[in-house]
Amino acid sequence: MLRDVVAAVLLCLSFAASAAHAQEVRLTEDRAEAVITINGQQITIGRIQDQANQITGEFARTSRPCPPFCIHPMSAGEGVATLGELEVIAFLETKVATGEGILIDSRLPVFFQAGTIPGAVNVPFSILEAENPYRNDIMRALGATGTPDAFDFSGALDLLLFCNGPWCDQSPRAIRNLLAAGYPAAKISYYRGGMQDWLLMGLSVQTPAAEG
Amino acid sequence: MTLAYSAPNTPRQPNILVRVVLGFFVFAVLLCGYIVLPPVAEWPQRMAVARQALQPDPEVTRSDLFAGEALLADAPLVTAQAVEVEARTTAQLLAELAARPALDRVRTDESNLQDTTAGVLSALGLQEPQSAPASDDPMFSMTANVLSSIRAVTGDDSAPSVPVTPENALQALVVAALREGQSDAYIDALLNEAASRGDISVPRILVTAEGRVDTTVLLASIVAEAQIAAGGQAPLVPELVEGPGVEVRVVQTATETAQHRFYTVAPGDSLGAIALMFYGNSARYDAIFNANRMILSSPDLLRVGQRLVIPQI
Repeated sequence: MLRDVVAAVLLCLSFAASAAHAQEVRLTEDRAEAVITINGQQITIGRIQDQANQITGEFARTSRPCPPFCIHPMSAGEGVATLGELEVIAFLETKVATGEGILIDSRLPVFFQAGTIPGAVNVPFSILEAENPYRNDIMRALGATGTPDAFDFSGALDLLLFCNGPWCDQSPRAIRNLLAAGYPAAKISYYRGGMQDWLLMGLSVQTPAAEG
Repeated sequence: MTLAYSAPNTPRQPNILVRVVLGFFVFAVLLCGYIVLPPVAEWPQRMAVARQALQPDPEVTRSDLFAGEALLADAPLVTAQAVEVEARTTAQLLAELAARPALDRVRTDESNLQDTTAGVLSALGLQEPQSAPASDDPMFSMTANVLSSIRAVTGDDSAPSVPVTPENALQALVVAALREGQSDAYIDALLNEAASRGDISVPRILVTAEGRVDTTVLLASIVAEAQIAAGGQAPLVPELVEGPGVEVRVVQTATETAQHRFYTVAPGDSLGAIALMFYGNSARYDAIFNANRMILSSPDLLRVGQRLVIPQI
């Protein structure tokens, strides 16, 4: 009798252990992954479960020439918040899922296509340069109203920008251009870690090119 | 052998001298010609000036000059505009918007009224959408891509989907005004204000004799096309047109009787409006334009008082 009980308990424990083993690499202690619905599209952000996995290829490099690939300061501009991975996921859940904000991949389309953070929109940094004669249309799409010389950003989207990582100037540059165009700093945030840190944590990557 | 060789050579000696002299003469003539007659590119300009000086009749001079000016003005103006659009940055655009003097003439482009109308209707969801305008500008296509991906995430259909250029700004303004339910008078004021700043360019047949934008014809075209899209009848060619400025002459020859119609341009007329009046369809303007090319160099250059031949179609 006692032996049966012990066997049952052991059996249960082993099941629990194997279940736990499937989620051994979690986002946080109490959360394995995040499932978010963005305008009808469901995305899942979890982590690579293979504990032997390592970064290979371009993002394994340590010594890119500076300039241009210099180490960026923590802040991308006065009043612009700098976020980490959990805050990026929270932004997707609270702002992007509700249509109040967008996560912007500032890199050029070819990089975006090769792999980006799930739910991100590609707004290449060059599009936000003052030289783009169509920049006002982007501002309007982001929710600016009124005329270009006096845009009203009160109803504009919250933006979270990132690029390749702490050594990448594309998102800080895009942020500088947004600020210069009058976009309020309170509506802009910066994920400094970018793709470099996102990949380092083994977080889910979306490849728009593969999805067509 | 030597004799035989030198014999034909001897008379050549003076020949070469004559040729050299002739050569100098021809060069001198060409040089003089160049000084007296300027290079081909300058001819029309000089001819117009000469014509102005020679014409004794002031009426004829004015019309001739006008046509000459139009011919001359067309090419350089178009080039200057193209360069301007390409080189202009947003910041410059903003500065221009703030302090830009009114243009003498409305900016026109190669677009036709049907395309503008179709664009407006598809934007209002009344017609099958047409393909997005093609552009060579990589910034244009990149911006268009970004706009559509922002829309895909936010699901906001009212957000712009195509970057606004002077060529499609007319469409965008009309769509916005119609969505807001604005009156015809408001749309007229809005478009003319934008046109006077050079923010929009319009199809040539919408330019009135005073150089304004004929919004009546534009709105009539939109309404007519919307009715056709909804299964209505295409507009009919009016049987008989009477009214101020309309003139009908019946010419009888031995074999047939021909009817010739003429129309004298009144203030506020555009070529589109005249085509609408006689043919019930502004798109048939080309019949009038082709019959009057002698006095009308471009569909946007009507003048009040001009007498146009109205062919039967």
